[in-house]
Amino acid sequence: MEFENFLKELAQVLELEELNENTTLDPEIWNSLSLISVITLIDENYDVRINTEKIQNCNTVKDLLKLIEEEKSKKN
Amino acid sequence: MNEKKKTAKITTIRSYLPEKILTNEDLVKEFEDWSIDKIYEKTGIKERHIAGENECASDLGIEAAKKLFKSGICKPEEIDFLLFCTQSPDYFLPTTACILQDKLGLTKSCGALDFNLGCSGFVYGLSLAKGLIESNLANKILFITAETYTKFINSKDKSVRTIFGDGAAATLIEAVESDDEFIGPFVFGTDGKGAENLIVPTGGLRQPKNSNTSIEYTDKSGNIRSKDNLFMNGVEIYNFTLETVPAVFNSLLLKANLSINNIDYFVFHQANKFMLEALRKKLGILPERFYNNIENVGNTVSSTIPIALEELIKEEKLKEGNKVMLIGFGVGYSWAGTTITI
Repeated sequence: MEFENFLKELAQVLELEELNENTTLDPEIWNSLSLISVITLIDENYDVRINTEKIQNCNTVKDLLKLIEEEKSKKN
Repeated sequence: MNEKKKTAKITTIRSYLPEKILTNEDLVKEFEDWSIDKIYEKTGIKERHIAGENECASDLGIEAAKKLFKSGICKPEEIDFLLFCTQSPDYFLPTTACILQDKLGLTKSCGALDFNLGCSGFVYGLSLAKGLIESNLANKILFITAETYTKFINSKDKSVRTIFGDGAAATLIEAVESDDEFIGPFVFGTDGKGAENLIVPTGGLRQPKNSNTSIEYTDKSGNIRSKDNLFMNGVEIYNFTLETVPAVFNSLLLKANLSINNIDYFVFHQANKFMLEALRKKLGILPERFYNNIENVGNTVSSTIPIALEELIKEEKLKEGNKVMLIGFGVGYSWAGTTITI
């Protein structure tokens, strides 16, 4: 799956200078605003919805990408 | 003799908002770390109307109905069925609609019932009215939506205090003779898994209020509420909206055998400016055909759609013959969509 563009936008939304698969997602970055932004980003890029608790339980960006792939494959 | 079909049509809508207004300026006075701009930016709301201490949803409904009768469209005696949609009834029993029958001077041969729905309530009510009319069980239906969510809200809960406003709308749905259809088709949906995401946990029979349930707690975002207050998981509801509304949109167009270009206007439940804009973009609807305005009313739950329709008709943005798609979605989870012809 194509993640390059998504990762760029995710970095912007989370206000992180750099972001790659191994970047850790601190539980502190999650608030209603950041969650809504990420949900919108995922929806716009991949047309899937992920439960907010699952998003918050991701330790790394890679975990998030895995969730996206899982949801996407459920649809297909 | 060629008899035309009897079909249901919305003929008049009148809304009523309680007098007291809560502005962003008022909110900022109470909470120093909030800013007027930030509130508007996040919600798209400047003012919400708040029911008085002794003002119930039914009282708001009565004022809306009085305005409707004042318009001259019909007299109270002509109503043969009253539908009352609220989640803030006067009592568990008797039915609030019965009390309304008396206060509005409707006849004693009038049918009347309450039904408990929120954001999806207006569209569901249209389906009930259409069913009653087209099965020849009623001819002139007074359908009132009325809500006072602010009475459930903790004053220190930013997440919902900025969003919800109280209000009511009275809609007249009549039997007309025509081969055309003015209301329909419908798409319905329900998902009880979402129950906990917009809820007043106590006060019903499942969990009565007690000294423990009134204990206030602070959530991760600094909002304060108790189990006796309204709780809304806005983010999860946003997820639900993105998942569900597009499916209803597509399903409706299919059922109605229409394309997006056949619809003159889209009026969805006015939950939140940001969420609606995300939906509009996702569905590819032009901004000039999409209603998104709760600046001066806030989220009035089941009345957001009729309030929007009344405004659009008043401003002549909607004219006779226009086709409008309505989708209500939210608390329950419950959702319903339909198309109407003005």
